[in-house]
Amino acid sequence: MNKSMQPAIIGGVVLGLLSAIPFVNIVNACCCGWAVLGGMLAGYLYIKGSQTPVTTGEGAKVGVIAGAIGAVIYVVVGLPLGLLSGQAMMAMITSMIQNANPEQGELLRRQMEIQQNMPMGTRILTAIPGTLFVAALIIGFATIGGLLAVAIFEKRKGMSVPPPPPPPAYGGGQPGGGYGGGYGGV
Amino acid sequence: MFSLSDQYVPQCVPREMARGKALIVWGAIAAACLFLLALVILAPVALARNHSLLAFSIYQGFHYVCHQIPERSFYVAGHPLAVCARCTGIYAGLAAGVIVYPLVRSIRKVETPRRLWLLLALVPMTVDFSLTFLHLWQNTHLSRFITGALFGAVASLYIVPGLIDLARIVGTEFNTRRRTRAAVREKKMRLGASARAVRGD
Repeated sequence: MNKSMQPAIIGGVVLGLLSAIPFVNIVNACCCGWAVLGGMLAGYLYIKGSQTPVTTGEGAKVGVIAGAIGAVIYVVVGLPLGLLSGQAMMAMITSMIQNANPEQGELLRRQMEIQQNMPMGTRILTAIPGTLFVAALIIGFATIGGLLAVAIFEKRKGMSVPPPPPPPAYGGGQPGGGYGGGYGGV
Repeated sequence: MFSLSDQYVPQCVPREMARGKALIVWGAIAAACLFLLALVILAPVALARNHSLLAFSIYQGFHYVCHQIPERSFYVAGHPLAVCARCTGIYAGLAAGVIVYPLVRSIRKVETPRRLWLLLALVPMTVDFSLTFLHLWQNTHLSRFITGALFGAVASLYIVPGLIDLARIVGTEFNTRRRTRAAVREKKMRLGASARAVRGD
């Protein structure tokens, strides 16, 4: 397995599952929190396992892979879970807002009613581009998480691997004359 | 065959991208940021003009990344933006930071600034959120927008070089695989030709 795959898989599974579980995925309301954290986890694990300093591009690459895995898990696991518990979650959020601001709570409740009264075909039509957009956002934010992980956790910056030394000049340098020395006396 | 030492070519791949390619990647990042910002503003405008399907698709998409609490959002055409004031600030700051990035840093540079600046940029946003959470002060749309914009602008200093470096890595891997495949194909053709020559075809 490619050395970047294992951290990406771990980060992707964590971000996908946490984004899929209803009520736990509320953290994503803070700028896709789980996606960024999943990308950062993948980047962190990659940095820990790497013997050479990791560049931001490599961190971003690990983040992209983690985001792609997380997006697939979100679509496959999260969508059906969301459909089952979506109404309960929206009712909970609406009641929280209603307690703080009855006017805004009422506005949100009316928005929910409009969506629920939409025909099923229209709801599916609005769900498909929304789902693709969310998958793209997960990948984007996980990428950002991966490169931010390098910015925050990579302490070996500036310690790039030195290039190998050039080979010695032909016929020269070493005691005893090296490869060509033996012929010199013939 | 051996070469003279003054003809030695370092085998390490340089970590810089050609300026033209780096500008293309930067342009794509800027376009993506502006597109996101445009979607945020498009949602209420579409709703005001009775394009409900488009509006609800956008609201539903951004619902994943933002709480969308109407009292914490700016309003356009009588409807809230697709994200809250803080998220609007982050996206606006990010877009502005990406657009002016080539004026602030060399586009070919892939090293990021010190992490201290990123952590410092988080401080105003954290203070703004914490004071309101602890009921010590009520933040406003403007304070949320400005603290978000500051963080977004600083984050662009890390995101742009990171994505340019990612494009360089992907481009290098793609070229390496293409050259390897071409070399393998050529080798097969030569082996096939020599086998035919041996058979006397």
